[in-house]
Amino acid sequence: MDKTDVIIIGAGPAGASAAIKLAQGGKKVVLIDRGMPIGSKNLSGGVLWGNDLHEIIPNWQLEAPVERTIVNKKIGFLSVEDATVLDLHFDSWDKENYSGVSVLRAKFDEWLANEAQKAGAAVLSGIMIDSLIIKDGKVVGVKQNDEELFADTVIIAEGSNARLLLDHGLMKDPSKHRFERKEMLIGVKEVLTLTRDVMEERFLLDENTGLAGEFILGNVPDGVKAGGFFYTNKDTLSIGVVIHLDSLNSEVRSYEVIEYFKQHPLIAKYIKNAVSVEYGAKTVPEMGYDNFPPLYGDGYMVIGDAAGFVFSNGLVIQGMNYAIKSGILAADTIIEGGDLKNYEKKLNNSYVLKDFKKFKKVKKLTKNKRLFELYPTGINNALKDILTERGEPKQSLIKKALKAMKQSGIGLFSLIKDGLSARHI
Amino acid sequence: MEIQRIKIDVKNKAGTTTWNTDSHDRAHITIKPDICEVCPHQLCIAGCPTECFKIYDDVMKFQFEDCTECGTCAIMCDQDSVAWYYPRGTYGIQYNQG
Repeated sequence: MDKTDVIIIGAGPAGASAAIKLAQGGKKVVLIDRGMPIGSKNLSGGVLWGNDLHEIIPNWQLEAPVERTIVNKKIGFLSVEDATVLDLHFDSWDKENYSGVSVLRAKFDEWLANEAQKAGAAVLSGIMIDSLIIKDGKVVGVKQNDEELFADTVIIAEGSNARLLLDHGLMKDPSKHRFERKEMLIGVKEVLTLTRDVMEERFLLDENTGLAGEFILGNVPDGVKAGGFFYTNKDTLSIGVVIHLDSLNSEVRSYEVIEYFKQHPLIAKYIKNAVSVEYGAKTVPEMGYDNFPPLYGDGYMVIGDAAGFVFSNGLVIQGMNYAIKSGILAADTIIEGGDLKNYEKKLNNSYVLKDFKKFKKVKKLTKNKRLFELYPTGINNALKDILTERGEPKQSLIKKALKAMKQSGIGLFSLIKDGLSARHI
Repeated sequence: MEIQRIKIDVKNKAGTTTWNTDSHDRAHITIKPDICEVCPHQLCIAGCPTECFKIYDDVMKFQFEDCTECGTCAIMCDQDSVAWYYPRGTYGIQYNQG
């Protein structure tokens, strides 16, 4: 019988980080991924805040294929014609050890898996695990076709579409066999080429610095709830949208939503003459703290997206940092030789579960249709009203803003209510 | 202002992406068109980012070659028509950028 200490299913940031930490701790670990090369199945739409990577790879930014250090953040509200954008230039971020960087996952994940191999893990690419092997209620190994591999512990890092958890009844509700529309988002993304010179001039960037923008889309019809994002890589731009699946219930298609974003007058100027070189999509879990699957069980632990560790508040979506941290904590649990329930304790004591508990109520805000349908237009109209000189007597600012909000369909009462729920952000 | 509706040909866009397509008898997703025919919403069509679901002559057709393996159709389909799995290892979408 082929047996190892630990099998890890999935070599994204979660699985690869766990593999590195385990190998460093002297464990025999097998890291398995369905992509070949590793990274070729992986997609993301965000900035990597890799604070925790320093623990397993000191000064990783010097070695890793990172694109740009993010020093400019744009936060915007788009209505059909107009945009209000908060433009944050934090050049001090470039001097910090723990700054966020843009990454392209096909390159980054391949590098990280290679680091796992260098640390001593056995890394297998191009292998799709069909099922877990469960004996007397305990997960004891994995199966592909007729081949079986056994381990003391299996770490499930299969990503957002947690098929193994669903197939084996390892969700909170064991009878659940698919995810609900209300607990998932779809991210649709393109990578566009833009020469370095043009990009750096257009976005006021230096050779290694970059920007990340996040926008609430108030310009998509039929009440589709979506956010848009774009960020700069070395000589490409990543641009995409994240859509609440339960709001896609009309004639609007997921692949059209990214066009509403790209064709907005402001965004169109940002991406002028940029040529698309890759198109892709992935789901993003938004199940929330109360609906996470059991994070460990007899013989196994769940880390990263598979566990639902993605934070979103309508504007920002973060998953990679939680993935890395949960991978490290799962590895620590095994290295310390304790009970697997210590993994959940460690998560509870770390920012991972603290964040999710603290922001439990944020989902109410991200599901609020006013956030997408009314506020972007309301904010743009209010500011436009205040700033446009029409040769009329001036009203007080507050009065004017409230009037414009009201004209955009937002009542004072809902403003107060949403203000109260926004405090959870 | 009224929102101008946008229509695009996503197949063109998906043409920039690389796939290593498996043979037809190995399609990783299958559907049951009989169920789709009486489906009250057919939201798979709205969800799929590469337009793999289409109605031809009143029958739901599914084409797996352009699948991004995102899993959205399996979430949109609450009628148990979509049988979803990942492709075999090494097959399917191949991101060069990601």
